[in-house]
Amino acid sequence: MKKLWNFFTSTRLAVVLTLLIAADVLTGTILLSSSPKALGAIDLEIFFYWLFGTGLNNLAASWWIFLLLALLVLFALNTIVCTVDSISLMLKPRQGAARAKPRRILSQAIHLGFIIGLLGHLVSSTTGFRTMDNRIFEGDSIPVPQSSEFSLQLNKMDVAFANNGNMLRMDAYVSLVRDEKIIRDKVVRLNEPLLYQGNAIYVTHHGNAPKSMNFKLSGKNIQETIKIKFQERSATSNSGYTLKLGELLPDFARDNKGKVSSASKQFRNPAMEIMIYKGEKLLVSGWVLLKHPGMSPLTFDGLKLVFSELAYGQYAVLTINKDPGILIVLTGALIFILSLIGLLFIKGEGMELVRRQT
Amino acid sequence: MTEVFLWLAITFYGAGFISHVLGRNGSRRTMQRVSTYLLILALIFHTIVLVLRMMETGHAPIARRFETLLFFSWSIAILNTILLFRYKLRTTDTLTIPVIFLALLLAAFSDSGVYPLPLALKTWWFEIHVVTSFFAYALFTLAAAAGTIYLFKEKNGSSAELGIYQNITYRSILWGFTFFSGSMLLGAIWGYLAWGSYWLWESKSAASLLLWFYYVGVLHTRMVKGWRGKTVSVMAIIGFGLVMFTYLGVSIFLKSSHGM
Repeated sequence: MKKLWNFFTSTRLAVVLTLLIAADVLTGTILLSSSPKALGAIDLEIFFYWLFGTGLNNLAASWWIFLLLALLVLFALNTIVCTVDSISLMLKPRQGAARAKPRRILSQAIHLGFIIGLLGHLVSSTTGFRTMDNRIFEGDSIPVPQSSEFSLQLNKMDVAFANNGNMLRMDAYVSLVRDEKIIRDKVVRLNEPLLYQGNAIYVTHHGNAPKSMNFKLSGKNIQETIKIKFQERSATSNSGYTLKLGELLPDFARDNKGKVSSASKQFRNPAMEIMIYKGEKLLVSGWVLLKHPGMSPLTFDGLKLVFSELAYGQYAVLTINKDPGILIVLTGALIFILSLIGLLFIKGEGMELVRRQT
Repeated sequence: MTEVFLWLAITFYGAGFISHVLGRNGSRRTMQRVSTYLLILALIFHTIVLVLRMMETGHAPIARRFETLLFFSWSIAILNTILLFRYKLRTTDTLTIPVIFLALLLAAFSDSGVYPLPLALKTWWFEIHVVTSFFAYALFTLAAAAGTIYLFKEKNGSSAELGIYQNITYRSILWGFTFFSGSMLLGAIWGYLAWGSYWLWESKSAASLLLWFYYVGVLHTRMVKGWRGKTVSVMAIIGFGLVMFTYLGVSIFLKSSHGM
């Protein structure tokens, strides 16, 4: 046991391990660039989920990460044992033992900062969540992932471009809502996320896209407009009919037997399947051609349903993350750097770049 | 106008270096003095280039390769000036001025067009992240220069003289490592605020991690008996190679989403 302890107190071991880590990461630097298919999604998931899923299935590209983990474990052990050893020596009041000089204390504080940072990174790599591509239209709201008591509402998108086409701003005016009460309003823009109780909300893209399909229902003294949001997939009219969206075909075609299919994957003639229900009972279904509003009305119960338009809307694409380790990482890093700066200030060489000749 | 001052800076650094080499044995004091004046003038022109560039682009000159080459070389020149005026040391100039000269020459042949800054880079987190990292690179360059001179003088130099170069190497690495760690922390905060992650697995970030661990190793090497002088000097020189790999190699030869 003592041999093992002595092995881990070795500064030579620290040097060897750091150089091995550096060599391993050098290989990783090249692999990260040359294996985008295997390693490209690494930042999209919580690290350990990726590592033991996609990473294990792509060992040719990811082996260096497993080696890095093993080396980091050894280096962390080396750091902890060295720190414990040094602190216990500092605390022993016997003659000849290392005294608690500022330099020694700061060196151990640097070690401590590193270990805290590493622990924080472990928490970040195993817990929390990352969700990307949360598309939300102006006026709509979406639930916050894994925090079902919260929902996020996009009040307005404000995007501006310079004459040369460069983006000047991409501001998403959002509200965080809990129990139908707004608890936080914020203009989310690049470098300025909405941070709340560990959740972080970022705006990454924006755009203008079809938001809903509008229909006109007429007959039997009924005249009403029904709007079906793509996000919700269904809507119920005032007269009690429920319209549901079915399959979307990019290039609608019907053969001579009446069989419907898509002639290609190109959006040449997109068509949406519509189903009309009264209660649970399906009354009729059919296809509407999205590029040809007004065509192919559906009739049922003496009523006529006509597709009138595709309504477009501004949307924001949001990334919603939760990283419970971030504060621990930052605390460790701050302790590390402040101790390093302290080491530069201490008596003797002080802030000097070179020891001054006396 | 920027180009004129850039070429003036290159010319004066070149002339300053030649006069420094000609007067380095100490017997030609006038030549050394001329070299000092030429290098100070070169630094003034160099600073003017940076200021003009800032006025042209409206941001710190650190966003494109042309600008970072200007800033990297300027950081080394500032360190040289500190060494000259505070410590009366000029020997490391023999190696650092060629680095400045080559960086400026590379800048002169790089794309110097003015392009708008992407939205994500319009934050002072980005600016101080890059500025601290380039000061770190400059300090690591100085460490490599001192390490090289140590190796050259190892056999014939006095122990006091060798001690000075060991000291420059170690202190520059300690300073550089502090700046580099600060730069990584600032980059992590910026990454978290901009993209939702304080760490991204991409080539440039990985190369920075490699550099960080490498210098952790170098700083610990100094504590091992028998590894202090020569070993640390050799490691400082290899470190400069890794700095160049991280700074230019990754951007030129590998794919990275990090930019400069």
